[in-house]
Amino acid sequence: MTLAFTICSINYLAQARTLGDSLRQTNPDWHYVIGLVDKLDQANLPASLLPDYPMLEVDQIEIEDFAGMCNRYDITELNTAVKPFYIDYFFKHRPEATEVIYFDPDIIVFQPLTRLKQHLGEYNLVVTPHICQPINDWLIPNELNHLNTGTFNLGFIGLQKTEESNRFVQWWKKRLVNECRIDLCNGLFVDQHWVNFAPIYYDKVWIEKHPGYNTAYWNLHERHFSEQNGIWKVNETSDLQFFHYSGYGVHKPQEISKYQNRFTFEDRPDVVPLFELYRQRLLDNQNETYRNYPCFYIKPPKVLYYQQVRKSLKSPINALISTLENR
Amino acid sequence: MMITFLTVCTIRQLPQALALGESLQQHHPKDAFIVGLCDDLLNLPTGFQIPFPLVSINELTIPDLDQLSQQYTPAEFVAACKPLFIKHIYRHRSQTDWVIYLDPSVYLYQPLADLPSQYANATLLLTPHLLKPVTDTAFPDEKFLQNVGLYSSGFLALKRTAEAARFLDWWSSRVPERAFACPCEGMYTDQIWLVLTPGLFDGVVIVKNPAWHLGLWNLHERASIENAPVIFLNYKGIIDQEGYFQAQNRVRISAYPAIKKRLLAYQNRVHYFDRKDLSSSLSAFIPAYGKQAFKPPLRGWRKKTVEKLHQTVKFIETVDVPRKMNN
Repeated sequence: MTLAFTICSINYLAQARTLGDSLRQTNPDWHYVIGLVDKLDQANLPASLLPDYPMLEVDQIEIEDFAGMCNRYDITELNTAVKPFYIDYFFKHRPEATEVIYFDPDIIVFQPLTRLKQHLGEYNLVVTPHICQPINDWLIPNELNHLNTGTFNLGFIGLQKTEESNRFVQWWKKRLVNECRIDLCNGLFVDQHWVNFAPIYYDKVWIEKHPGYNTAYWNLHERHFSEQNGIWKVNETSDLQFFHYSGYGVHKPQEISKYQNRFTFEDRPDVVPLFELYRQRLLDNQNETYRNYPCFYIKPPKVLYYQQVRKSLKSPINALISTLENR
Repeated sequence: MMITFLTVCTIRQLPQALALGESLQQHHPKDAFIVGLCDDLLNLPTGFQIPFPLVSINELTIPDLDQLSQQYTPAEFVAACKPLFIKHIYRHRSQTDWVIYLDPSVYLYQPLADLPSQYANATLLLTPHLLKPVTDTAFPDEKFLQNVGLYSSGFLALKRTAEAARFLDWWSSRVPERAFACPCEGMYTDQIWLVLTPGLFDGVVIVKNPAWHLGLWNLHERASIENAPVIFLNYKGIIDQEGYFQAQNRVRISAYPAIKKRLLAYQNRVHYFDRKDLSSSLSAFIPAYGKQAFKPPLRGWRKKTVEKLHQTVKFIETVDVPRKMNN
């Protein structure tokens, strides 16, 4: 059995449902689970808002230091940090799941993923690089940004359940307990940067360059879209497998993504229908209602008082640091 | 099958390059070895003879040479020019099947016998710094490697293919102006760029043979068993102050008697070439290019103290002090 899952909080359930609907349509024999980084009994969702898909709350998956992780991480960091913990849980508790596939909630699957299924019979892991062709400008995101944040996009990863995959998951878990932060100067970018190591440390990692996989703002420079007889094609020849609407918001429908400044919908009329379709599906799946639910695990931002005192305490220490550094 | 080996070095590294050449003559007697001199040819001592073909930086006609020299440290400058040397030689030695770059500090102990058989379909071979996850808390950790690059640019093998040529065009267009050791910006000399290559180019092979490319950064995983095979070893940072691991505190050479023995023999060869027929030693030459002063990384007590002080500053900045309540 193939198990596909996503991770989100209640505010993103419209996305998770949209992904689930697309999987149900294209890959009906797959099992789909929503990993919920939130608490249902606190949110008290009305029945009309309960998705038609099983939800697995994060406090049910036996994360050893979950309280500590909640303290250390913000919402992005926390939602990404629990990814290998969910995979580990499925490996342990869903013995019938021979393949486990993670998708970010803001993805739509367009086709039966037969190629992926085939690769997961042969390889331990399947990952997708952000770019398969060089980017020849320095707009955002550029090659330096990818060097800083990770070669592979971790909005998707496929794993065959094997000992080698399990070794990868255990290693990844260990790193994400404390170091799923965004700290570029120290080599950290959530769960994603770590996975640069995957093809080095682990055998049989398939680096998927099929242009229909994980299409998103970061690879639009190498991918063009067209619809032929109701089927979406990439670069005329390949079937679109799944589109990742990262950084797109129903409330900024004029922007392809808040994380990029290279393309506009005017430059890229080919993607307009793909985004219109997504926007409509999110609205149909009650995006407007879900988005107002705050995440149970996110604390209000700390207000730091006594800035003046802090400053005067810091300044002699900083002076000492610079003396030591410049010996 | 024909191989052209090359190295790129400054005058002070010539003794190392000559030792490398000697080891190549021994194990690859039919293949060529070229020295790329990334230094001012006019500074070579009179009467200095080199038994290998030499390509100097003047032959590369780098338009903004002065600017590059001004903005970089000596090591960054060599890194900036290295792809241009490799591209130049790849072009001019069109009859060879493989072009292999080796750091001047590499010494070959066995022929690269795997090359024709195991890597017949490859375009680019990369050697990772580490093949296994780090299990201790010593420096460098995996985060640091993310900053400097997971694949060592002390070795690169390029098969004569259109894809390898495409890689060289890309690499040599990115690196010369972006060779700063500046991890916050996603930059780190010529090396970090290699992290993108498995996604960008076809036939990029990660060599997992533990006998290839031993160095200061991986002796703990490669040399701890007695009689561990060694095909080539990089003495960077062991015999000189070069490289990115000066502050490492994981490996002590004395803990690896077999490596220690090789090091002593290697030091003898380098010493021999350093003074051979010359009045002044080559290793004392200041590089002509790279005018920025190199700031060696902190180590020992100084490093520990600075880390502790940074933690203290962070604590002062973020500690939660409730405001005094006025009842």
